[in-house]
Amino acid sequence: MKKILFLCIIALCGFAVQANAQIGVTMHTEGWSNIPPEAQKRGYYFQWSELAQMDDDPALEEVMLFGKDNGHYATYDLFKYYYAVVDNYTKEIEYISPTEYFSEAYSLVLEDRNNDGRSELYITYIQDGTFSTDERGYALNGKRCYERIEWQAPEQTNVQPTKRNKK
Amino acid sequence: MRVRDIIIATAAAMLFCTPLSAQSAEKEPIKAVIVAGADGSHYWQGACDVMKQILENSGMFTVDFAFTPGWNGIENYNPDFSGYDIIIINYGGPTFTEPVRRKFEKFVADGGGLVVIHSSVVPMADWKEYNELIGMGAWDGRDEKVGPYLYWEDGEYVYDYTPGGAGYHGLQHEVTINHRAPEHPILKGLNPNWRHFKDEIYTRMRGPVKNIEILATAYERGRHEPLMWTVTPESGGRVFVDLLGHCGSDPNMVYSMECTGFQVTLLRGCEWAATGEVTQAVPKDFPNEKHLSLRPDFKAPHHAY
Repeated sequence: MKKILFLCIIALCGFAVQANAQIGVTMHTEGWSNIPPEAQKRGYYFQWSELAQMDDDPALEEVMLFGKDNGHYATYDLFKYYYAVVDNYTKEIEYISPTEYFSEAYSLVLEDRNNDGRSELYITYIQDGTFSTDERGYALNGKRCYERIEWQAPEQTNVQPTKRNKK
Repeated sequence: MRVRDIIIATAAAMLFCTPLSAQSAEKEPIKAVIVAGADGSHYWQGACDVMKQILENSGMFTVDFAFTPGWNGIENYNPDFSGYDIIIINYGGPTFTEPVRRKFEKFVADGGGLVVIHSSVVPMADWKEYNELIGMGAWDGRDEKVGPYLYWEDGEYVYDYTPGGAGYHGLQHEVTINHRAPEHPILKGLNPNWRHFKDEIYTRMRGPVKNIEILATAYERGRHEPLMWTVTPESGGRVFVDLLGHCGSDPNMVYSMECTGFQVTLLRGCEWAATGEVTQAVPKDFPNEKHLSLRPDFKAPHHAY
């Protein structure tokens, strides 16, 4: 009888330990963020983001804009910025700008102009950040460039498919 | 007949050549000294040069500089304020030594004028008397311990004792300035609502707010935030604080001071701080609610007066 009671106690303890393990939590003292650390370049700050369908996967992508001030003039400001496309479900980075853009305003233009069911990211910038002004800082002059970032097949570049897409 | 014509022509010429007012030509110039020398995020050298031009081009002021050694060597800074009518402070560096602090306080207590420009409300938070002279300040560790936030709402002063830090600004922009004491000598006769050129608009000021009169506000982030005010210390003197006039160092630019509104209120504020009155006429090129006005050469155009 004593043995049965002892075994029961041992079994209950084991169950308790197991139950405790099942409801255990992991403490994150810094909280959590939608922004994958790998998406954050040093010296740039998250500005805003938009959800869009950027690839063939049903899950949406969050297109994030990171930037910083890069000069203030009388009639315009200049900014440096880049983009990261993050799968909204897995938080995997699908695309990150290989270089930073330079312009008078932040912009996040997502449109499906070719009607293929996927949005493209349209970017306007000043080439190489090279510009001139008059002696008082007015009359900004630089070569305007336009770029389109869009999803392509896995073997191609630009927005990369997620792992789920590769299956 | 010819003699009479010559007399009339001469009188007319004298009248139209008067820079700001008939009185200004007859008076001794107001002697101003600009205190500056260090500021982490401002083109203070350019701002000082511009203010000197604005003041001296009016014909009413003479301006000297009393620059600190910079970020290091404040212990060697020993300016002589005697002989000046006003100190214009455009400074964001280390706190002055005690002898200089006492000299500065005595200058104002003895009836001298003090004009505080833009980021000069930031430094020297550890100098209690300076906080009282400027009325309100920002950053540099200022919080609820220095006093309440102060802003304007429905014709009344709101003293907000909510705990928290002092000072905020966003991206620079044009702003509409609203006069809240239109009968004050500095503002009397000017358009009470006017467009100010692009500037860095400081908000969430807080401090002792003793003997303070809000002259002008701008609507920022849900509040009518004071941008110009006066302090009349019980010990004497007059203080005019103007938060406008950001001259950034990224790159070096002085465009906010090109604004006619800034220049005119600076001139009038300096005269008031020095003498207690304003004799300057209202210029015809002062901005209004719809239109900006610039004086890129830092002097009044020929048609202003």
